[in-house]
Amino acid sequence: MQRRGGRLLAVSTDPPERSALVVKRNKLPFDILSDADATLTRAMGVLHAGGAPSGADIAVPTHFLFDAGGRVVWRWSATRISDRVHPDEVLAAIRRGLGDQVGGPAAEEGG
Amino acid sequence: MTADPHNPATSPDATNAFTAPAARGPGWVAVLLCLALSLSGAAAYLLLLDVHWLHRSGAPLFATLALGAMWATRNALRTRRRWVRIACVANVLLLPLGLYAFFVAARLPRTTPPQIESSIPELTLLDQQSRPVQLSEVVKQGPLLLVFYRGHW
Repeated sequence: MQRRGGRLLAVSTDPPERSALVVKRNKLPFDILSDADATLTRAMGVLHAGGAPSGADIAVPTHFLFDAGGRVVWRWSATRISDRVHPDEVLAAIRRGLGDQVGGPAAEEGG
Repeated sequence: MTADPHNPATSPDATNAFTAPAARGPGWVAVLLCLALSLSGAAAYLLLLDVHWLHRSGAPLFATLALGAMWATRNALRTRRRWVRIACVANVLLLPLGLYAFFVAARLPRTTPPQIESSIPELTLLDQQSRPVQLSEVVKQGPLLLVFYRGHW
């Protein structure tokens, strides 16, 4: 993503403090957005009402790939709790959806 | 061997003493091995979430559960020990339990597709350091992979 001037952002309904722990514990190189009231989750159509063990609303695990024009060029959603997208599938979608476009301010930071 | 009152080895009790253990059929070792087979499939499915071929179809899970169920059925039919039989039935029941868990309990709701080609919502969220992030500004700088996850880790 970075080579293409892009970025990865994760989203969950966790509050920022919990997400900060997740980033720290897993040494994540990307940021996690806090969608506490599930507004973005609802806007993207991935709400799982009452899906948390506590009964709170969470998201269905989903990946969206937006191109630089802000349009969705690829998506993947889990159908089962145990579903995980294969990294190769994500990479192939990035190559297909974004082509080999290189550049943008983020790309100059390297990686 | 007909009973001969002059030869204790041929009395009914002696005969039973020699043949009883084998006639009782599979014992606890067989039950435990069989359970281990069934549970190993389930454990692999639950613990090795990043091994994709295990989860693509659930086939490895059901193969081990089915093998365990068939073996347990065979044990149950060949044993005379009540508790062994009960354990075998419990083992067989792991198969429908696994089917239920896979096809019903683990399912997530269908997501309503914002159509491919739809655009990023005009929303600003806080990141893990409580800095505001405006999504439309992010995509102005380049493509974005937005990953929704369940949270609650």
